[in-house]
Amino acid sequence: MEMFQEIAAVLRGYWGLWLMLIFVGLIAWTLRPSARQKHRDASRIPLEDDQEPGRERKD
Amino acid sequence: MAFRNIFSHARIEKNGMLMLVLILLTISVGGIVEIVPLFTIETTIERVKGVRPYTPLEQVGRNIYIREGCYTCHSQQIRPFRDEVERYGHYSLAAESMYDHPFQWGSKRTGPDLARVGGKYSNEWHVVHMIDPRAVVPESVMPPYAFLADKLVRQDDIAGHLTALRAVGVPYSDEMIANARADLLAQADPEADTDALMQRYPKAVTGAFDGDPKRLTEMDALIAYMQMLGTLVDFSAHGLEDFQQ
Amino acid sequence: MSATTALTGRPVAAYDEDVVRLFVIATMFWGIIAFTAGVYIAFQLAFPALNLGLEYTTFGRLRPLHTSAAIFAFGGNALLGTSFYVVQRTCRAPLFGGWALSRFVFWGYQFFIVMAALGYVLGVSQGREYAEPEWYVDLWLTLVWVAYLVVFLGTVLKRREPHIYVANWFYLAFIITIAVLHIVNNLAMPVSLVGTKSYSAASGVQDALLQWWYGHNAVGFFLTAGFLGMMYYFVPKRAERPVYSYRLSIIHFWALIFLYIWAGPHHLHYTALPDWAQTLGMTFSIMLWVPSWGGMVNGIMTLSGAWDKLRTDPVMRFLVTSVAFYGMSTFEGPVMSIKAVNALSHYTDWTIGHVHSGALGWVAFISFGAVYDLVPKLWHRKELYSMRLVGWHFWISTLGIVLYITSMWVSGIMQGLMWRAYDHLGFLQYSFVETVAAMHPFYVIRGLGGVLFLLGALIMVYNLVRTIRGDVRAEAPMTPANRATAPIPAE
Repeated sequence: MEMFQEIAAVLRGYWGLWLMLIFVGLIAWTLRPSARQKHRDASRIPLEDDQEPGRERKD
Repeated sequence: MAFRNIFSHARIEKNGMLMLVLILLTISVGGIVEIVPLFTIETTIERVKGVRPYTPLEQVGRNIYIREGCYTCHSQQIRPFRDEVERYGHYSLAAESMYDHPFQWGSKRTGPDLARVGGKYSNEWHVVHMIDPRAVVPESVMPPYAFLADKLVRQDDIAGHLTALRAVGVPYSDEMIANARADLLAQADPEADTDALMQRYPKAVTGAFDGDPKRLTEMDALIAYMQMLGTLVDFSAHGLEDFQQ
Repeated sequence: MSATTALTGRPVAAYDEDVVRLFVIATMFWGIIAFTAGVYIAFQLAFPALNLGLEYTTFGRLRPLHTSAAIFAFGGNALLGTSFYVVQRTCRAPLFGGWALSRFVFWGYQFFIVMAALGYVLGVSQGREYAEPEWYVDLWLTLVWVAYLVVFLGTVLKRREPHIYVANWFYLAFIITIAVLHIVNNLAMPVSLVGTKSYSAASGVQDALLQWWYGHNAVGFFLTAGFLGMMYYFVPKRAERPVYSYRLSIIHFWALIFLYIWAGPHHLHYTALPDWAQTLGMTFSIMLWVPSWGGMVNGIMTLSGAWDKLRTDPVMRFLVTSVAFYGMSTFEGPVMSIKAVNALSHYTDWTIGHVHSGALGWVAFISFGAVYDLVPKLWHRKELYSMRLVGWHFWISTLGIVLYITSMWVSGIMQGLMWRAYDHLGFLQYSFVETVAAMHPFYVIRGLGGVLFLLGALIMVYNLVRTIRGDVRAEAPMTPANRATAPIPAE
């Protein structure tokens, strides 16, 4: 138990590093190539929302 | 097709809730890291002598200060700069507002800081200034508060106020609560015996604050509050090492 | 209803645009109230006789009325209304909870505003900046807010679109975070269940940090994240092109909401708050500059290839200028959070100017742009009554903002310098009241800036009322004949 607390204390000291790793992870996750199409589709959502529900989509 | 729809729909629903959880986690980190230690680290509030809960009359005055939005123009927080200390007095300590529910440090000085205004002006000056600020300070832009002199302080619920404050951590004793109404009246009555009041609340300022001992007005209460602001801590009895946080 | 969508083949109910119309009307109404109150209290500081000697009309009671009307009534209605519009469109689903729940959110929110405003004027206040309403109003708002979250999240959950569009992320973060902030900051003990007065749970230094954790994130999540949701929908929509970089918007989102929450202590520099907390607040405030500008670049660059719209479409001009003001205030903010700068700026009008470059330039301008875009669509009109009047609104308001923030820069920096000035004998050079007197001309200029801003908003209301009535003004078009074939300027 004491050992875990010591390890936790050491890890806490590097909080800046963990934050940086999370941030880099976020960027990597966002820029991953497999998401490219997904993001492209998502970015077009506002441009294709003009049809009223119940009517045929134009595209 | 139908199968795929059901399948993907479930996944999507999960994403919506997942997003909620992730947002909650993300915004919790900063708040927890900053706020929790402030309650747990013992040195956050300096150990200085003299700070006590407000007298009933001071607390009523403080509630008027809050009600009228005085904090929109006056701060109660002197920063440790040469010019501020020379203008207003010793810089403010955390201990000095430890019984302030809520704090009134303010964020704007359209008017001067009031953290140590206690004792700087006479009661008579305050009354005239409240009724017509420009009568004593021609360049002032403060609104007039003449109506305070005509409003009587409500007396029947003062013990309830002290009880509520005790519930949020102000150390009012049973004796203080039992005598709340008597103390409320005695502080603004020059004829009253104030020994018990002074025992319970050292350094309390007493007198007919608004000049009329017969009526207990909101003017009495507000001035009683202002006359004690920043006067509780005896700075000559402390060294800088007592103010380490 | 037998209609179906091509996407799922299932029947769908129509979008609830009726409630959005209500919110748009409320936005205009409260906007005029907020700007009028602002102009009035601005002139009170220049001419104190305007306090009228009544307890109900003092600056101290009207100032919370102005700030709440601007933030919660004008801004809040704009946010709730646009979020209901955007979430339905981008999820291709009608509002969750149906007619009754969305009407409860609308009327419940208006009731909150009226209760809060009545309290301020009658002298019921918690004395916490931007959280002045007392405990019973807070409880009511909590109830309305939970209903709002249910409607919004419910709509997201039953969407017919596989992706959750990024605007909804920002709206969702705004709704959730405001709920957390509101509840924690307003924890209090009422004196009596039939009385209005309560005492805050925390006191002194802890209370100060809680309040500014709330106060700064009211800026960060109400006035920033929520309106960024608006930006990520209406700027691409109006520009008729997708957002410049969807990936950047994702990074913008997570970095922004993570960093913002730390920044509160910069409101408490050099106070009795322990140094470690001040330093943390300053550090994160400076870091916040990066995602903020990422978002600004993303918003403005969405127009790349369509810059001509700035010339031809005054509604686009509102939207893009608002993003530019967002960039300006999110640069100024981190600068002011640096302790050495804050030592000068804090307690002065510089802060007031900074807030208004954000509130008028960013929040109000993006709301104006969104409302101008929405009204013809919501009332099924082909176009606005007059594009020329939109142009007038834009220039008059912009001039108003310029007068406002420049006068506050000058008065703020001047007052800060006068407070710390020493004469050659080593005495403080100015008494406090001399610094008050020196502010007078700038308070007059600021008031005039406010008058211009109010005038612009009145022009907008006139324009929109005529639009709703179905009128179209006979006027020369904003563009040389045919915009479609006009050459696109070189980039």
